[in-house]
Amino acid sequence: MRSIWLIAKSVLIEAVRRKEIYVIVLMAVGVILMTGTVKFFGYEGMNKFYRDVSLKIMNITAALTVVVLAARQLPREFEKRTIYPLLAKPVGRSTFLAGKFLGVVLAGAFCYGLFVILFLGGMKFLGATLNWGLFAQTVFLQMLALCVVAAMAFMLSLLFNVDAAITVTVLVFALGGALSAAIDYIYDSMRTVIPFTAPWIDGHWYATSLGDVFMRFLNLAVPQLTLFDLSGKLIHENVWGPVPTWVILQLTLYAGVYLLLFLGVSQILFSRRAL
Amino acid sequence: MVAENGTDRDKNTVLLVEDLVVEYGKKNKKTRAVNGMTFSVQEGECVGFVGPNGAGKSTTIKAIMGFLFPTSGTLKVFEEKAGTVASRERIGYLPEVALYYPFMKARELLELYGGLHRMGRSELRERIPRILTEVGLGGKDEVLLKNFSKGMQQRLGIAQAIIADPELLVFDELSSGLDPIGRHDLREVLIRLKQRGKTIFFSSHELTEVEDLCDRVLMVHKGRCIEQKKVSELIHPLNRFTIRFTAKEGTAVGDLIGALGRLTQENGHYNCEVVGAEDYASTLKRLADSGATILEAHTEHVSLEKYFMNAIRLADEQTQRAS
Repeated sequence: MRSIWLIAKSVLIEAVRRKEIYVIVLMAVGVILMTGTVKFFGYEGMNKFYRDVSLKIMNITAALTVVVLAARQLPREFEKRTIYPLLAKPVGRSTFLAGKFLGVVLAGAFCYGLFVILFLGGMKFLGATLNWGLFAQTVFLQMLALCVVAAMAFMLSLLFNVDAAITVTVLVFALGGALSAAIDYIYDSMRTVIPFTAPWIDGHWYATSLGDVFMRFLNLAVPQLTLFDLSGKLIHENVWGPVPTWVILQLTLYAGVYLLLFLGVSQILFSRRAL
Repeated sequence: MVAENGTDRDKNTVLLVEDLVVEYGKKNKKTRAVNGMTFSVQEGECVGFVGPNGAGKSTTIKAIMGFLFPTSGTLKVFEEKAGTVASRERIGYLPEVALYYPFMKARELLELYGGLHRMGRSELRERIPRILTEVGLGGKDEVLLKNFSKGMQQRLGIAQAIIADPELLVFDELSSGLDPIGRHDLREVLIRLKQRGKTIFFSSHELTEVEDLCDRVLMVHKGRCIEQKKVSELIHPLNRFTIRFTAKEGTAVGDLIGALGRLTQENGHYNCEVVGAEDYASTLKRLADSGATILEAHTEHVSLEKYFMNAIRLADEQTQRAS
């Protein structure tokens, strides 16, 4: 465990000392602060607008930080050859990977934590109330999403390169909702093309197609990260209460499956890689 | 115990490489970088690993460290399979091109590497300044590595390799990036490590460095070990000696020297050129017995470089003949 922590600490030191992360954080802080100066809404509108913009920026910025950090960890180690003295120490490749992953997640959590403090400060400044249960669920699920995003970026960086890993992960994160809708739409439209099997669904027989199978695969292969975003509920918390615990547990399990999958594939790829 | 293939296998064997084959590339386009490499390193030895570029030195070292996976053969470090965590517990390694995290300070980097060797904080606090001083980086503890020159990075590389006081030191291209002063300092560090009984195995293009430091030299060419001998065994038999002498009247000088050396006559005295220490000693004895007067005797030292060039040429010729 100490080895994992030491490697994670080196990632944290890098995150703190490199300037690009400060640029991302400062830009986000600027936008959030500007939101507080918008006067054309009434109090209720202002409150919701602030929550809406702040939470979106928090989510996107923290995810972007995690993606950039995660995607470049391993390729940079290979490119700069810093991996050699490190793996020459009594450290297994799985320990190395776990340390890197933990470091990225902690850096993301640190970044997200800063935003949370800022968000709460703004809420206090506006004199707005907060459903703490729902807020805690929002933060927890967002952290889960960050873990999934980090693991995905790790895996893609081993399969492709830094740029491709960042692009694909950001697309999955940013366009997650649109992707789900697109999958649904295409899934419906392709249902009757090229009969493949005829499964029993909803009490009816459906002709399925190869496209059907492909869409099912895509739906499972790409994590639906919008499921982890409770910011919509937090904006309208007077309408939506906290999410039932079983839903949170299911989402935790869902994230766990993807974490295992992405980190497992990363481990297999990394352990077989000649350096 | 001496194995069939010439490697010494006993309890003092620190590093054992037997019939190592390492191939790169995809199935139909494989390149054999190491082709049946066999050697061993015994405890307390300082062994130089020399060969031209592309001979398979770095590939062999990477396989020893577990960075590459051998296609076939045996690789053992302290009786453990090479590349395992357990085998790396006792190795200090300096990579061919040493780059270290530029965002870290020298102290932080050594704390990281020492920590991975399970060294305690207090132990590291005491050891880091000492090690940095030893490699000539005293007082640089808090300097960010992005401000380190190439030579300083190489010194830091040696510091990280010896931070946990390992029993076996594996250095890939020992003095690359170092200026003459750096090379001299590094030699001093290695001599101290040798005196402490450390086993040192290093590859280098600096043959004088190998000649000065090593007990034994392994010469590699085209993925194979073409020669492994003690430095003295490699070079001394080739040293060239010249003896200037005057013979006692009536001595048949040509018969006296015979096949031991090449004889020339000049201004009333003889010059005799002899190759190898044994023939030199025999010639001197014969001359002394015949009552000759030795006017001068000097040695022309054959460098490892000359020997190396010759060995590579011979290996190439043999390969050509075989093909």
